[in-house]
Amino acid sequence: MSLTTVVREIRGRQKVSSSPTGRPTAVWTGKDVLDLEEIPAFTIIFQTSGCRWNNCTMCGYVYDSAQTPQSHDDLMKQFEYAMSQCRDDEIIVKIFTSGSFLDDSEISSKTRIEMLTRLDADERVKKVIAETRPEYVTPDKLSECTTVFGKPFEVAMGLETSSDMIRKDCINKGFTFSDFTSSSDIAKKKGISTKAYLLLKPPFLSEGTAIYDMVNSINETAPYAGTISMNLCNIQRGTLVDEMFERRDYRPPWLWSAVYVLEKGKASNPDTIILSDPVGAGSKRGPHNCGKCDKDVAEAIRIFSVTQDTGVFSNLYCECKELWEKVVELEEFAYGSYLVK
Amino acid sequence: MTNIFEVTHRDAAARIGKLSLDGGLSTPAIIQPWKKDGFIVDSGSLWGKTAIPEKTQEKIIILPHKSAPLHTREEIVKGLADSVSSDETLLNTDELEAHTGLVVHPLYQQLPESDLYVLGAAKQLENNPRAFVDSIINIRENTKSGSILYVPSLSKPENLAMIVYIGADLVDDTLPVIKGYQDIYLTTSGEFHLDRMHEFPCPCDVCSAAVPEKLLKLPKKQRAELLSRHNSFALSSELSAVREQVRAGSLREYVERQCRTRPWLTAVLRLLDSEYSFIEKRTPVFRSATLYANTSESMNRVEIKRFAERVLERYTPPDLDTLVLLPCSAKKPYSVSLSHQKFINALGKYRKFVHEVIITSPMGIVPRELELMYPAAHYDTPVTGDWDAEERAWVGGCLKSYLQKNKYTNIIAHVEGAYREICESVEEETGIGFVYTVDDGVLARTSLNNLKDAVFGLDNGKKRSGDETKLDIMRVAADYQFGKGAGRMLVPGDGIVRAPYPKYQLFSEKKQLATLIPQYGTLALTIEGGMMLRDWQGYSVTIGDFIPRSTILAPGVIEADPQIRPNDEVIVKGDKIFGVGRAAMSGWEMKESARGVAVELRHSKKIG
Repeated sequence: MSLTTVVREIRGRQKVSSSPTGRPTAVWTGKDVLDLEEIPAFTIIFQTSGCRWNNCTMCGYVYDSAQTPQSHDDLMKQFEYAMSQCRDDEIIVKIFTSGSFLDDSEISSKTRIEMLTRLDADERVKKVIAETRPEYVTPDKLSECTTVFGKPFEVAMGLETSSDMIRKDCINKGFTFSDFTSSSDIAKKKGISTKAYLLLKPPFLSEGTAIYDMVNSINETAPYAGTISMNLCNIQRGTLVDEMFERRDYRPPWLWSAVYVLEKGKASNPDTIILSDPVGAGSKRGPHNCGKCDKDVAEAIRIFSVTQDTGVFSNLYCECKELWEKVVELEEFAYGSYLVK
Repeated sequence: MTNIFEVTHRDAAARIGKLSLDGGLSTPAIIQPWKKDGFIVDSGSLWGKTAIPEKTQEKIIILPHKSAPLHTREEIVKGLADSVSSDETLLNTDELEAHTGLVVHPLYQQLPESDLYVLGAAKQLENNPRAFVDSIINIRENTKSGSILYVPSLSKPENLAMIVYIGADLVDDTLPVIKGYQDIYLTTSGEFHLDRMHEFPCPCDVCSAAVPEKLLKLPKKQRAELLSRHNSFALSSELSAVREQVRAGSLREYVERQCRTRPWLTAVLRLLDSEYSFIEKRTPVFRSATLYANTSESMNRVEIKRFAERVLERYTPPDLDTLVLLPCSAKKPYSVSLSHQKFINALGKYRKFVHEVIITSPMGIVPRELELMYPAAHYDTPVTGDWDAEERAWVGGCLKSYLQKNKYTNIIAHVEGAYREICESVEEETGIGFVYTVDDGVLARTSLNNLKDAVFGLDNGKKRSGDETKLDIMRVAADYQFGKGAGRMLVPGDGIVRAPYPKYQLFSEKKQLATLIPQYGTLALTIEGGMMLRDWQGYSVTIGDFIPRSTILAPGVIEADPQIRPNDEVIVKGDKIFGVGRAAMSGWEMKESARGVAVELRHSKKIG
C-alpha cells in the first residue's frame, strides 16, 4: 500500500485549475487501422469525475478531470460538441474518460446508452473503442452497450505489463493479469474485442529490463488482445514519475527500445496489431534518443503503427544506437540509476 | 557468510585484500558482473530475468534484487525490500551454500550479514558528497570488516582514488565504457570531448596509434570501442597507481591532490575528515612514508589530530618551571637541525632547567621529548612564512589548550613572525605572559643572546638531569603509545637508557625492556618490558589456549583493546604464552575478523 500512500500524497499537493464544463478535455483526429485499411481515428477525452482508482505512479490524467460530478446533460453537451468537430466521412471513435467509460460513477448507464445509441445511428462511425479498467468489464455492462450499439465495439484496458510484480511494484495498478484475461474472455463472449495498453519503462526498471518486460508482455498478452498499443512512458505532471524525473531518478525510455520491442513483438505475433503513439517523443519528458534522430525514429514508429510493416525500421540508424545498445547491456548493473540522460 | 576475503594492507579506510575464489583476486579490483564467467555474478532484477548460476562454489552470487534510485522515498524502498525478502521464489537461496551479495539502497539500508554488499544507485552519488560519504560509512560501520564492498557504475579515472580511499573493494568500468560511446575521453584529471582534443596524453595502444582527429573520422562503433578501451585502460592504470599508494602508505597525499579534479571530490575529503572516528579507527599509528602537509585539508588528517589529542591527554611534561617555545625546523628531528643546535647552545648549562616545546604547522605543538614520535619527525610542509587563518587558529588552539592544562612559572618564546603572532594571541586569550627573545631573526646573535639572558640565573629552580631526560623520553613515548601512566609502569626507578640518541635502549638490572625505534619514534618492547606492563589495562590482545608462531591470526583473538590501531605495539596474553608484538589491524577488527594477521609477534615466552 505504500505506493498508494505516496501517490495520494503527491496528488494532494497539486493545484488543479478547473476547465470549462460542457467541453471535453480533448478532441483530435489521428490514424488507426480497420480491416487492414488506414482510417481516421476520432478521439474524445470526456471530462468526467475521473478515475476511481487513481493510484498509478505514471498517470496524471486525473488533473484533466472535472472538479465536480458531471450530470447527464453536461456529458451529452461534451458529446455533442465533440461530434461537431468531426470532419471525416468514415471514422473509428476512441472514447477515453481519464478513467473508465464503463464505470457508472463516471458515466451513468443512461448517458452511456445515449452516447452509444447516437454513435450507432451515426453512419460515419465504423467502430467504437472505449477505455476502461477491467473491473468494470462485466457481462451486464457489456450487454448494456451491445444492446444499443451494433457495430464493432472494443474495450481498451491499461494492462501496462503482463508481469503482476511490475504492475504492483512499479505502477500500483491495483489489478492482476488474470483480472485482465477474465475481462477479455467476458468481452469475447459478448463479441467484443479487446485492446491492451502496455507501458514501456515504468519507474524503477532499467532500460534492458523494461525491454525484456515489454517483449514478454506482448507475447503473453497477444492471446487476449487483438490489438496491443504500447505507451512509451512520459512524464505527466503531478505523478510519482514526475517527482522521480525531477530528482533525476527516472529517464523515459529510448525510442530505440520502442523500435526493438515493436520489431520483436511483431515478429513473434504477426497476427496481432501492435502499435505505439510516441507521445512527447524527442523531449526530455518524453521518450527520446540523442536529439538528432528522435523525429525520424518517432515517425517510423507512427508509420509502423499504421502499416504494421517492420521494414520501416530497417534503414533507421543513428550513432546513438550504439550507445543505446551499451545502455541496455549495462544499465541493469547500475542497480537503480540510469546511465545516460 | 564465509571466509573468502582477507585484508592484507590497510591505509585508513582503504585496503588491499585477497579474494580467495578460483585462483584469487586481489582487491581493490575492477569487475564485470555482467559476465557470467566472472567471480561476481549478478542473478538479476526480480522485475526482469533472474537466473542463479548452477555452479556457485567459486563465485559470489549477487542475489535477485529490486533496486531503487537514490532519492526514492523511504517507504517505497522499504516496501520493495520487504517484498524481496518475502518472495517465495527466493527462499531456496539459503540452500545455495553460495557466497552471496546483497544490493543495498544508499540511503535506506538493510544490512543482514553477507559476503558482499553492492551499493545500489551509486552512480547518483556523483556530485552528492554527503550521500556518498554517509552511505559508505554506514555500510562499513554496520557490517563486518571482512565483507566486501562493491561500488558499481561510479568509477572513472578521476574519482577512483577517492572511491578506494573511502573503502571500496570492488568497482567496475561501466562508466568508462559508456563514456567511450559518448565520445568522451577519460583521464585522471577529468573528461574531455573527443572533438575538442588535439592530442592524447596517454601511452595505451589506442592513444599511441591515433590522434583525436583521426579517431573522429572512424565509424561510430569502431570509434566507441576504441575510446572505451582507452577509458577502461585509464581506469585500470589508475587502479594500479592507487593500489601502489595504499601499499606505500601515501594514499592520503595522493587523494589530497587527486580530489581537486572535481569540487564534489574535494567536498568528500572534507566530509570524511569530519567523520574523524570512522577514519581514525582505521588509521595506523605510523607509516613509513613522509607525511606531506601540502593542502589546507592536511591539517585535518587523523595523524595530526591524533598527535595533538595525545599531547593533551597522554603527555605529562617534566616538573620544570620554565617553558621555552621554539620554532620548528625543516630538518627532523628538530634537535639535529642547525637552528635547534644554536638554540640548545644558547640555553647552555641552563637547558636542564627548561622544558622545550616546538611550535609548528600543521602539527601544533611538539614537546621536545616527543620530537621523534610519528609524525613529528616525519612530515614536510611548504614554508613561505605566511600562515593562513586556519593554520594560526589550529596551532594557537593547540598551544592554548596545552598552557591551560600545564602550568609554568616562566614562558620564554624564542619565535618571530607568524609564530610570535600566534603566541601573542594565546597570551591575550589566556592572560599568561610570555617573554619574547627574538629581535631580528631567531638565529641572529642578538636574539640568541636574548635567549641566553632570559634563562640566565634559572639554576636555583627545578632541574632535570641528562639521564632523567632520557628516561623521560622513554616514559612519554610509553604514555603516548599505551596511555597516560604506562611510562611510570614501564620505566622502573633503576631504569637506565643506553646507546646514543636516538637509538635509545631502556635497561633495568642489565635486562633490556624496550628500544626506541628511531624510524618512527615508537617503543618496541622486549618480553621483560612487556612483563612490566602485564597489569596495564590497555593495548593487550588476549588469545586462546595455543602456542602461536610468528603471527597471531584474527580468529585466534579472543579479546583485543578497541584502542589498538595498525602498527601499535601490543601485549599478547594467552593461556600458554605471554608475548609482545605489533598489531597488523585495529583491535575492533581483530575481534570481528575471520581471517588475516592480527598481530606480528616479536617475542614470546611460554607460561603456565
